[in-house]
Amino acid sequence: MTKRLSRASRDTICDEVLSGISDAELRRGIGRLFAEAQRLVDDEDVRLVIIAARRLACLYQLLVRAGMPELTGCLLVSNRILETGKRPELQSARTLVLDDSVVVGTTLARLDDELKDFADGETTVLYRAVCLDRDQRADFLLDPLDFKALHEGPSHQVETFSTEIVKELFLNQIPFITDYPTSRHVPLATAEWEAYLQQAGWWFADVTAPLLGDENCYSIAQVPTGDTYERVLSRIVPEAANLVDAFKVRLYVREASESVDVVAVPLAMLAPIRPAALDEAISAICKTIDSEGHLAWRDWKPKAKHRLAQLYITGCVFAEAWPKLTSSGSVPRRDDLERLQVLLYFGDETDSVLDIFEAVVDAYRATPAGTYGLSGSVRLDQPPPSRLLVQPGLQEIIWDTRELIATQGIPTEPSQGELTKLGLVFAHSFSSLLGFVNREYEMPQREKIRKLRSRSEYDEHFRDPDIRILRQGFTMQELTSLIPDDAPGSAWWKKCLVSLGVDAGNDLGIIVPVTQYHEGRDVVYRCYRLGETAQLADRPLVEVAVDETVILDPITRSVDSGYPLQPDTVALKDRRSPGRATSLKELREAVRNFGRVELRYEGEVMGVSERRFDARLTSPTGDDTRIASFSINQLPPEEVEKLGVGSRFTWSMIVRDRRGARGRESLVRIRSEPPLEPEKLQEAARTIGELLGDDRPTSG
Amino acid sequence: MIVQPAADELEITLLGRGVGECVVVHLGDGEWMVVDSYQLGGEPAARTYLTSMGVDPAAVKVLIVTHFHADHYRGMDLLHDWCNSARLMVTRALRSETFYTLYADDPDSTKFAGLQSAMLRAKNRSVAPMTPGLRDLKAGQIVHDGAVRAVALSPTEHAVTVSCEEIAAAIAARDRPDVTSRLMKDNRCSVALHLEAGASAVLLGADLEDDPAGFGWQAVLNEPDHKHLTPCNLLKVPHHGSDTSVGWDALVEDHPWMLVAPYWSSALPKPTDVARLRSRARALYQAAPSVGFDEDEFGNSVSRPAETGIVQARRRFTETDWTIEALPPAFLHG
Repeated sequence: MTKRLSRASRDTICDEVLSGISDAELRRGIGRLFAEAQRLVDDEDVRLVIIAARRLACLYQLLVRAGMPELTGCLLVSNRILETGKRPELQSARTLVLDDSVVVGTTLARLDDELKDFADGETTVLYRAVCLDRDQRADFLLDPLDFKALHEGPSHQVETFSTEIVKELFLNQIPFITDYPTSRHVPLATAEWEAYLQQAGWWFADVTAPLLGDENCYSIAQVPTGDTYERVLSRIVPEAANLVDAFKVRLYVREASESVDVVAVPLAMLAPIRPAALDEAISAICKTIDSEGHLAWRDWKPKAKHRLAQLYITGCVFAEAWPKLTSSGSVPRRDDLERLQVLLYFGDETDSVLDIFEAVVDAYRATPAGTYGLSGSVRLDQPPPSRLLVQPGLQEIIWDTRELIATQGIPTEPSQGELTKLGLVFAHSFSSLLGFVNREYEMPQREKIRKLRSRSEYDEHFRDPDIRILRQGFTMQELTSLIPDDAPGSAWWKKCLVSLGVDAGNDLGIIVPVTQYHEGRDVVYRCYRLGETAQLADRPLVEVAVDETVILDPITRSVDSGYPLQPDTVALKDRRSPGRATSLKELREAVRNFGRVELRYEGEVMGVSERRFDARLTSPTGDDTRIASFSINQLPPEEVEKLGVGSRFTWSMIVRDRRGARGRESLVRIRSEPPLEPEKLQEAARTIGELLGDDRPTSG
Repeated sequence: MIVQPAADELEITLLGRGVGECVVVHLGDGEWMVVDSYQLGGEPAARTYLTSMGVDPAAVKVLIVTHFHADHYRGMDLLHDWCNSARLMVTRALRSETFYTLYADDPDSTKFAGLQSAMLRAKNRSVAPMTPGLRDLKAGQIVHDGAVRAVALSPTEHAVTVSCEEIAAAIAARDRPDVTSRLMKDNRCSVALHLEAGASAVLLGADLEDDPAGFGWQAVLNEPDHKHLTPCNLLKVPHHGSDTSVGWDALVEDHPWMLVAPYWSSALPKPTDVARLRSRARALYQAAPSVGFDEDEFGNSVSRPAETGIVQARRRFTETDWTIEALPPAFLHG
């Protein structure tokens, strides 16, 4: 017999655990949604329940931990599991899909297509949500569905609900940034925690986003230094190590006076890769952990294989970091993972996944550092460039923001015993890129969708589904355009900076990491698209000074609540100090002093003489091509020697109004290129030769 | 809307910009070839042109990169995405695997505009049984054989060998900019194409120059296979009309139609080049205006924005005379 809670008890759990959600109807609606789900399972023969929103899956975890009974009598999974492909256990005559909030309805409509295809049309799908945005809903998408929302409300109510959920999850140390296993809560004495943060070989950055956390609750990004990165990868089979672009550990922390509670999330970012190469990597991984037969992964879709490879790398990262986090130095086992999260994402494969996790950890521990030499990193698979990047308005924001970051401070590389803090300008920059996309492109597109009259008209309009803004995003490499070329610090730190900027946006739900597969290029890759809370940062800071009547976004307003404007690197003992308080007035002043970029070009040097250099210029959108002859004296002396035919640079003209006078500054930044390393090239050539199946000798 | 050519019509269209050149060829029966690429915003110029005629991307059979100059390859990756059943043919200035290797570890993926990645995708894709989607091009190779027979006249075996050796030496010196620079300078490995179609022929000269001796046009003429080529009555003028590229003369008829794309970085074609070409041509069409500069307060001399123009030449396979239309800012030198 299914255990049922009374409505009052369920409401009480929601009131206690989700007290930060101000609207009582919506807050309690979350619990009631799961009660309705259980009723449909019990009474209407629903056997498959799919949670369509990552946030809702996290809320489920939270409520279950607080005493809400788990759903029983059905298979409960996240929609991610559909990426594995058609499987008998996921085909049900009646399927229920749960969502927290539905805005337009495009996501549910697409999911409906997918589920019908999945079950060869032989399924009835019910859709239930906590709330529906009555201002933005597209009736023609929702009407054909068996859809019911417990509440309907205006857009601002739905937005507030989404934002408050994000804040609640953060305060409860539930990361909704990841589909991968997170750790159980780890209790530490304060001294143990400080010792952990003192360890060499890692950089620690406080990436707590504006609006999130409180004086005791914060989030850390633990980023490997270049040496640690190479050491960890030298313990991983090369076929898999070659896939890794970056990895790190996120730590969600709650401090009390003498103790600390930590949840650890290992993360791995893979480079874009062809599914065939992914197959080779997974085969190599399976050999090392002797589990070829556990999962029938070969039939999975490319995105699911990508997740599997990511899971392996995160297992290795977990094996590396965990022993130092736990006072006993123990080897991570399945009980050290948050089981419910594994269950949601892997369904009835959970036990297999947990077996594999332990095997991965054991294989990693049995492989000493240096076992595998690092082969030349071969990065030839590329997704198509983001279509958003040809939007002139977006490029203006990118260039302005990059220059603003350059003048207002880039987080510096911390030494051992130090902690870097992001500062509002830096944290806001990455989020506001997506916020701007939401404001300028997504919202108008939603307006157009609502004006369509039928599903067939919608399908015709979006025959190329990739024109839907919500499907478009930026790769990590594209986001590096926000980091100035002459930013201080090692190249490795600069690469990590992008990831830190993304961390804050992830926790706010503004930046959502997604795995994409591009059929034309046959490449699976990771990119970052906008989330449902993108309006939190929809006013790039460079717009702030233009017009004082501009309504600031909530993150910018957080400056007045004490979130520091500029980055800072502090000693560990000062980790909980709020930093130097600033104000909106100071922020406006800083932005005004910076000015605006008036001209922006990417350049390639075509010739160099003693005093001048010739170049080809292209506007960031590629619409405007020019040629130019520059005077060399615009370059700092140390930059001059980098100048050569083929050198690439950026050229900006910055305009500033100061004390009534308008001034222009011509800014040329040469992009530095790493030197060629023949040994690595030789190795890369060999790898490529194998990759291409080409037996001709290489000439390099 | 531009109307597509008839099935028995040859079309040679030069798309040009101050910095950017692309030739679109109708091979007959609705099949197309694109030689080189430049980009306007997020769009390869050839895609914009072909789409404006309603050409199905599957009808594009061949894509050619004549050499590694950005004004000739930018946007080729997007073009290849669009018509991915086309065979990508690339100059053998460097063996393709070395090209990949050189830029595989380069963090700046925008260098070479994704061309290396497109080459790999092409390599891994078959466009027909036993026909890989990527082919290195050098003198003597047949690019297309149908109503139009297109043959590569360059680079010669000698040019390929020397180019590879020099770049290998630059790699050994660990000098990435030097390697890039050498690769970019390699006009001598440009792929010139001879297109024989019905009553006459066409020469697409890419950026092949006369120098250095033994590499350029003289080397092309010295190849025994090239002695009996049909003289061409339409010439895509090589290397933007520069006076360093005149050795093609023996391959064209008296007073051919000529199409030229400007190259602003070298202020080509110069007025003297135009005069020389006009004296030799039946008509000289230029795809975009020549360069003009403005100076700013920092002593930088910056050109006006490059405009893009179209010169479209068509004739029936059975005929010899061309009908040529210059869509502004393209123009006929009068």
